Amino acid sequence: MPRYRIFYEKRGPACFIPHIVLPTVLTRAANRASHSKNEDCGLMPIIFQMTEGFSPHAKMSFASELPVGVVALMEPVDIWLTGNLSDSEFKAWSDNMPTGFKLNDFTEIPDGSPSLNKSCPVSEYLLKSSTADRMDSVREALFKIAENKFIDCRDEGEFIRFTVNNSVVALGAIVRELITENAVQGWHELRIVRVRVGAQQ
Amino acid sequence: MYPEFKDPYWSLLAQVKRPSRYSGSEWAVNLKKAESERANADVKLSAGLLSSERRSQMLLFCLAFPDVYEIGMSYYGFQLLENLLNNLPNVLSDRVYCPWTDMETLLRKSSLPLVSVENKIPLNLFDAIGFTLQHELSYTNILTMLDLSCIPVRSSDRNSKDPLIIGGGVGAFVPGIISPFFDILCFGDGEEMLPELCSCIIETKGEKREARLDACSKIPGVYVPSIGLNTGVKVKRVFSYCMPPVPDSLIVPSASIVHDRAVVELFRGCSRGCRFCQAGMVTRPVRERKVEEVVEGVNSLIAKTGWEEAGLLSLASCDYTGIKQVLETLSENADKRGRFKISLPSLRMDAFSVELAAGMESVKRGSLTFAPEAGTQRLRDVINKGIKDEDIESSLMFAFSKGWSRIKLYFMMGLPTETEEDLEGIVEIAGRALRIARAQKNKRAEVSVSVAGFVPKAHTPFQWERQNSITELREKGRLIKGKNRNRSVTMNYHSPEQTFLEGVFARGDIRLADALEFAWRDGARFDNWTETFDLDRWNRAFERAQVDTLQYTGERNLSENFSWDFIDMGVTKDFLLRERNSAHSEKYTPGCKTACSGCGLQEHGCNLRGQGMENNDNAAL
Repeated sequence: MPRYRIFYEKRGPACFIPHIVLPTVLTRAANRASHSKNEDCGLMPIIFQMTEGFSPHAKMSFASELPVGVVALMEPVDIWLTGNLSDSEFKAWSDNMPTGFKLNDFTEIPDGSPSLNKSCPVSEYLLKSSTADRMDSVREALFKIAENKFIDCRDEGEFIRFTVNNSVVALGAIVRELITENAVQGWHELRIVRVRVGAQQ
Repeated sequence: MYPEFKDPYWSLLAQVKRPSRYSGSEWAVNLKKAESERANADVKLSAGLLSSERRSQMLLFCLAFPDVYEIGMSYYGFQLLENLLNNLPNVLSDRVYCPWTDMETLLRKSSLPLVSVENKIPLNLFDAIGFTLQHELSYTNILTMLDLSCIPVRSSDRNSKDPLIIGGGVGAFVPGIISPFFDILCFGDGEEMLPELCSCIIETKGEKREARLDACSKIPGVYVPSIGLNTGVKVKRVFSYCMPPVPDSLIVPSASIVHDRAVVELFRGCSRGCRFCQAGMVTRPVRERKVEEVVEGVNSLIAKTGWEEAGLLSLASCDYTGIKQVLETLSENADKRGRFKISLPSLRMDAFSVELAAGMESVKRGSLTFAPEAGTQRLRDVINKGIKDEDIESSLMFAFSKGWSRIKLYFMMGLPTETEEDLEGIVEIAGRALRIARAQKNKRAEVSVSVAGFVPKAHTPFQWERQNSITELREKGRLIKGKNRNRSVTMNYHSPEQTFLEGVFARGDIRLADALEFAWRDGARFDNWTETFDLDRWNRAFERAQVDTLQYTGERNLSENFSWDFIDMGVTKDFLLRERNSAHSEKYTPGCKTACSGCGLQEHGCNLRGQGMENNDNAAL
C-alpha cells in the first residue's frame, strides 16, 4: 500500500475553498481521472486506501491548516493508495481538479517515514498590504512580531518573505497580532502567499 | 506574479461569510468550452469582452437563482439547463446566485457589480438572464440581483442595452406579482422552450427591444407581460411527451452544498393527485425514463463527475415502474465499481417504500422521512393522500424492525375541513410510532414531527380555499406542541408569519407588485430565511400599496376568474373543481395508473389511462 506525498497549488478562486473540503475535492478529481476513458488509454484508476470505522473515507494527511484567502504554491498532502501512481495518472488527476487547483509534483514516501507534520514543520510566506500606503506600518509590525518568533523575515520590496515553525506560530495568530498592532483592520487588507511547507533548511 | 491580488473582489471575498459561495472553484466540462472561447476571442472573456465580431454572433445567457449558492447549486434544473444551453450553437451559459446580505453591502460600498460564477462577467453584459422561480419568498432577491447589476428592476424602465430578463419555473404559473419585473415569462419545460427562444434572441440582435420581445412572444409557451394577451387566447404550457436525455455531464461544486450528489430524474409528473400539491398538478403527465437509461445515466455521471453519491429524483420515487429493477442493478454496479451511494428522496409511507429503502444499505444510517400530511383518515381522504392507517402502522413497524431509530414525520395544519381531532391525530401518530419502537425494544428511538402551515396554491383543487390566519396557525402549532407529553418526540411548526406571506403571493396578482418593490426598497431580503424575515416590513409595504391581504388568503368565489387562468396548464379548471368537490365530500380519487379521472391531459399525450396500478396502492382497493 504505497504512500505518496502530493504537492498542490491553490490559486485564484480555489483560495476561498476551505481546508475542510479538500479531501472531497481531491477524491472526486481522482475519481474523474479514473473515468473509463482513461482506462482505455492504459491508465489505472486511482484508488485510495480507506480508513476503518463507521464512515470510512480516503486516508489522507494534510499540512498545517491553510486559512481561507491565502494563495498556496506548493502544499503537501500525504495519501495512501492501493496501487502505484504513474506520471500519466498523476497528470490526469491534476487535469481533473476544479478551477484554481493544480497538482504540481508527487513522490513516494518510504515505509516508516515520519508523519507529514513531523517532516514538514516549517512554512514560508509572502505577505503584503492590500494598499501601498499601509505597507510601512505592516512591515514595522511584522518585523516586531518576527523578532523572537520567526525563523527568518526579510523585506523583498513588494512582499515581506518570512519563515515560521508551524508549531511555534500559526498564520492566524500573526494576522491577529497585526490587527492588535493596528497595522491592518483584518485579513482583507492583507495579501498572503504560502510559498511552501517543508523542512527547515 | 499574483494576478488574483489584482482582483477587485478579493478584499470582499476575504470579508464575507462563506466566500466559497462566490469564488466559483468548480469542475465542469463546459468550463473548457469557455476557455476555448476565450482563446478564440483573443480577448479575455472574464472582462466580458469577446472580440466584437464573435460577440455579435453569440448569446451569453446567465441562469440566475434567487437564493444563495448552496441552495441554488443543489437545484437540478440548472444543471440540466446549463448543459442544454452550452450544447446549443453560439450559446455560452453561466450562472449567478443571490449574494447574502453581507456581500450585498460590500458590493454596494465598493460600487462593484454582481458577476457570474464561472466567468465573472457583470450581469448587465449578458444578452439574457433567466431566473428560476421556485419559491415565492425569494422574489425580493430577484430585485436585489438586478439592482446590483445596474439593471432597472422594472421591465418598463429597461432599454435596448439591458439584457432580456426571463422568468421560468413553477412560480411563473402565477405570473401576476412578478410580471412588471420580467420581460419574458416561460410556461413549461426549459428543454422544450429554450432552444427556440435562444435562436430568436440571437436573430433579433441589434433590433429594438419592443421588436425583439414581439418576436419572442410568438414562441409557444412564451408570455411577454408588456404585450399581454390576444383576447380570449390562452397561453399553452409547453412540455415534452417523453423525458429529455440524461445530461452528458454535470457541474461539480467544491464548496459544500445542500444536496451534494449526481442526480438522475426517474420521471416527471405524478400520478397520485394529492389535492394540496401544486407540483403534482403542474408537471402532469407522468413521463418515465427507461430503466436502462436511468442505470446508464447514473453509471456514466458517477464516472464523469467523481461524485460518491447519486440521487434518483422524482416527486415520488416508489411510484416509478422500474424502481426495484433500477435499485437492484445499481447496487450491483455500486459494489463492482466500489463506493457509490444511492439516495432516494421522496418515499411514500407504505410497506413497499420501506422495503425499498431497507434494501439500500447506504440509506440505513440516517433517518427515515415520511409525509402522512394529515392526522386522521378522514382528512387524508379530503386531501387525497391515499395512505391508510394500516400503511402508517405497517411502515413504522417495518422501519423500526429494519433498524432505523430516527423517524421524521411531515404534516400540515390549517387544511380544509380540519378539526381539533385532526390535529390531535398528529400527536397520536407520533406517539404510536414511539410505542411501536418500544414494543420492538428500541430504546433509542426518536420521532421528530414537523408541521407546516397549509398554503392553498394556484392550479390545485384547493385554489379556492381559505388560508388560516397567522393567529390560527400559531394557536394550532401551540396546541400540537402542548399535547405532546413525550420527550422522545420533538414537535416543530413552521413560522406562521412566513406561511402567511407565502400564502399572499401563492395566489397573488399584479396589484402585489408594488408591495413587493416597496418591501424590497425597505430592506426585505431572503424572506424564506428566518434570520432576515421581518413581517412588519411587509405589513408597511402592503399598507403603502393599499393591498388588503385577506383578499388573497381568504376563500375565493367558485366563479372567480383567477389571474393565472389564462395559462392552459393541460389540467382543466373543471377537473380542479371536481376534485375540490370530492374533497369536501371526503371522497378519494385513485391514482392515474389505477383509473383515469380525466384531468385534461388525456387529450395531451398522457397514456397512463388506468393501465396497470400504482405500486402498492392499497388505498385504491
